[in-house]
Amino acid sequence: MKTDTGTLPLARIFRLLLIALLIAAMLVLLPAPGIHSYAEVLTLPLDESGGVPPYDWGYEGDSAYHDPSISVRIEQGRHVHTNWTAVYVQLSNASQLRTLKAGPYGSTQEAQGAALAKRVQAVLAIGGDFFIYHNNGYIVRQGQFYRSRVTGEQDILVVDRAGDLRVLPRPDAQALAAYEAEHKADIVNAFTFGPGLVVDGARTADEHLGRSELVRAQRIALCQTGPLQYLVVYSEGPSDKNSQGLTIPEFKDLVSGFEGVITAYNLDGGSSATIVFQGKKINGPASQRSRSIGDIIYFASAWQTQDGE
Amino acid sequence: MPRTLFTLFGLPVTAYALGMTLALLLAAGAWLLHARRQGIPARAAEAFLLLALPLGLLLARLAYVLIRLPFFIGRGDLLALRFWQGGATLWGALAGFFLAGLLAAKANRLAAGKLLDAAAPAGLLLLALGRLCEGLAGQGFGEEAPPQLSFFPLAVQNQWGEWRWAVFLLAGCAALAFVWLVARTRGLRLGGRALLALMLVCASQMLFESFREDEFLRWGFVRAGQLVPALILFGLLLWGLRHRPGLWPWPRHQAIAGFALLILVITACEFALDKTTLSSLLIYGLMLLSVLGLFHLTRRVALGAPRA
Repeated sequence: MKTDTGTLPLARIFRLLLIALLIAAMLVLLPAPGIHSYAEVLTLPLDESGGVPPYDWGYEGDSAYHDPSISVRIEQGRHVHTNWTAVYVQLSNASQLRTLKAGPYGSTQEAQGAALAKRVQAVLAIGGDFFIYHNNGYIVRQGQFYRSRVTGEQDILVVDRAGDLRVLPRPDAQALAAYEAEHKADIVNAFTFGPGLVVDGARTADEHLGRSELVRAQRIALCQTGPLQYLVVYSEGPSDKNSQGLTIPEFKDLVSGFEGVITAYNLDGGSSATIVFQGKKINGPASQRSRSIGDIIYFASAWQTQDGE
Repeated sequence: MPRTLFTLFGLPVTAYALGMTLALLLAAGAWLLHARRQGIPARAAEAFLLLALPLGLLLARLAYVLIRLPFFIGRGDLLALRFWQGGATLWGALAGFFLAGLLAAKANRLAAGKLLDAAAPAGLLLLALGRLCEGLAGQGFGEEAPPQLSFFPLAVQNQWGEWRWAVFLLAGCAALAFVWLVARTRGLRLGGRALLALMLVCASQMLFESFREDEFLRWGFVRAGQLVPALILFGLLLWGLRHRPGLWPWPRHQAIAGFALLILVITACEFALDKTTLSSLLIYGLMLLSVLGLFHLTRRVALGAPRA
């Protein structure tokens, strides 16, 4: 049967249905004459304010988080009779790699890593160098220079404005002054613990090994694998079930075995080694009381939507 | 700020979007009924809708993005493609309307003027309803109204509780009046009604845009909602002078000079509103006269003298 317009009724029904669908699509495609729901990756301020709170929709189970500004993925494995955890992080902006002290500089305030992470809405947080526990070293936090008392016995880790990690091998005051003369304006954070595990893509030599380096313990390292790409490697210690812990040379072997590691730096390990994800410390034996620490290094979301959804 | 009523497939549905969807349904229904009475085959009428809906949306978004290009450029987050975050402009939608008319007419072997003439009242109806919906998105507001005139429908409260002139209601009512005016106008050549509707929209928007004191598109200090219609009217004037030479009996340069003079007066009025203490009523009165002058001049050149 043909209509007066010479088309089959079925074709007409199809056209009318399509028109109705197009009109219905306007429900979501025409929300406002102007921009009403705005979202962007922010540059977070260089201070101790936190990041944008992580979005519930960003979590993929217990092992990943993704939003347009940050991607976090957790993997696990085993090395020398020891379990390890690796966390891959990709940022959009260097300002998302941040630090927080547990209290004002000079105080001996400590707090559990999860509490510190919560204060700044961290997507992922790890313990720092526990600088309140010692009085030496080169300490910079979020652009504030707090301490410059190097002894030449520890490697220094510097994080610059581009978010790049650089290990200064056992600098003395003179070497540090020479570095500062050229790079001070670029330094955002600096840590004193070490040693450096990988420098310029190569595993460092096993030198200056003391008792603390040769004991089997929990270890944690912050690594860089590319521009704004980071890797946190944690290995369990003898207090963890089924793990014997790693010495520093063994830990170097583990860390340098990950693909693409350009720089890796050992941070405060033992019971202070902390990884916080989804607001919880995810490493270490569950029964162990979580040790309070003096500072965290954290990765924050910078994805800001107007309605926070 | 438009209020989100609910979400659909994870995307927000605002009160404005719901209003616009209903407005589109109403205007589409009116068009399909009206087209039959105007002798437009159903297939052509439906083809017009099938083209006008996506083209109108795409070009409305494209024009919005182009006008705000420095904001969108180099963002890397594809905001320009995220329609659901808002941002569209009437001028792109108008281009979509006319382009759809040309394409649908060609595909159905109709005169484009006949199809667009028939579609003009429905287009104006959609414009009227769309303007009324603008209030739902918190747009189309003017300056703060004096307390004695702070009541609906002269003024409406914005999200901060300020009573502001309801420019969107005025623009919506004007567009409704244009529906009536265009529908009753007779004796124009093919395509004349559509052009008359376009002229009415352009001329009135130049005034209404000046009333607005909210979110509007601009290039520096120049409001896109005034410059674009002025350019369209000027284009129509030039088209009329070239293709309808018999309708303007005087030298062509007089029409162009008259147009330029009226634009100059409108520009001076805008300047005066911003920089002088002259009465706003006086300035807007002068602007209204200038806009009417632009309309009549363009109409005279492109469509000929109105018949009694």
